[in-house]
Amino acid sequence: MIELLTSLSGYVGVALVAALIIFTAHQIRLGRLRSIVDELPRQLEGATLYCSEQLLVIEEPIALHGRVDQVWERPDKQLVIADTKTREIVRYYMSDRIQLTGYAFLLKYHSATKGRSIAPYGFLRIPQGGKAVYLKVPLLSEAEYRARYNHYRQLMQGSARPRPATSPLICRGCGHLGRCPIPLINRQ
Amino acid sequence: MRNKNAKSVSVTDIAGLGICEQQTVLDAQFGKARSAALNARAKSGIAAHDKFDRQVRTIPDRRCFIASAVFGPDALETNTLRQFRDEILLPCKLGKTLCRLYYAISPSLVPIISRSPHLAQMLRTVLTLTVNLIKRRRGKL
Repeated sequence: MIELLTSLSGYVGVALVAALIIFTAHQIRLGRLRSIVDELPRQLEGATLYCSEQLLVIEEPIALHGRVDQVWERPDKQLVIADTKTREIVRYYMSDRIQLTGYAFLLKYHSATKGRSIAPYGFLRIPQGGKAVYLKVPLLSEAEYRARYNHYRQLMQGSARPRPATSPLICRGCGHLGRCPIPLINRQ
Repeated sequence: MRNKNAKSVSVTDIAGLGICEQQTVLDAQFGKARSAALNARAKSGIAAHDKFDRQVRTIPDRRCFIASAVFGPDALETNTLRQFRDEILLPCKLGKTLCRLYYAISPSLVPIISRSPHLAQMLRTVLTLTVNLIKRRRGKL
């Protein structure tokens, strides 16, 4: 490796010095030294963007659609999902796990990505000040996701009883508070 | 939207079950209703998504962009350099640093290359020699 780099250095040395000067000037002009690639987590090192803000629709095995923020392709060809969230606290919730699993489900069964390896985790990208933090999120199993999908169908058909929010904070931000039959905030 | 998709469920709606099932049901019946603060946050979220989407789409152009500009995006030489990057440079720390440097400088260099045929020719010579060295090296392994 070192031997190869040494032999290459003669040819690229002059170009590299010139490039360094241009690079520094460019970065100073832009007022930044970090790039999107620098912010990517360890698991996405060397990964390339597979798609961004892509609408995915499947009819089988379930009728599902969603717009995935980003899908990254690792050097080993595995696809990894990333979703941007604007929130002050760097943490993930169950709804995030369900959402990322939904995108993984879409990728698994979409004709363009069928048969591709999909990581059992995804990332939440949370902008914090001038940079973004990537939070690794374990995905649900396919069976768990299907169960939630079926439960959603049952809720819409009225054949299942909806559970209330687990935190009164959610009720405070909800616009249905006046008509909700079981608002948690009113029970406290 | 096709009629076929009329019964299609949105990933976001199912994710809503993780927040409040009652809210999901009421959303379906009365439309989404959130507080002004949550609506403002959602608006800034959409703006953040759009901004990042614009930024992130420039990444594939940066990568191997100089080689793509000189030889063409699907040329044998470009693919050899991509392979060199993935197999030899990225697994080691020094190589990773060189790659990051390359990703950072290439957007600045491409307009200069496209304006200067002499520089493009010089780079073609240097990169061809590099590709030949990589191929020779690979032949020895």
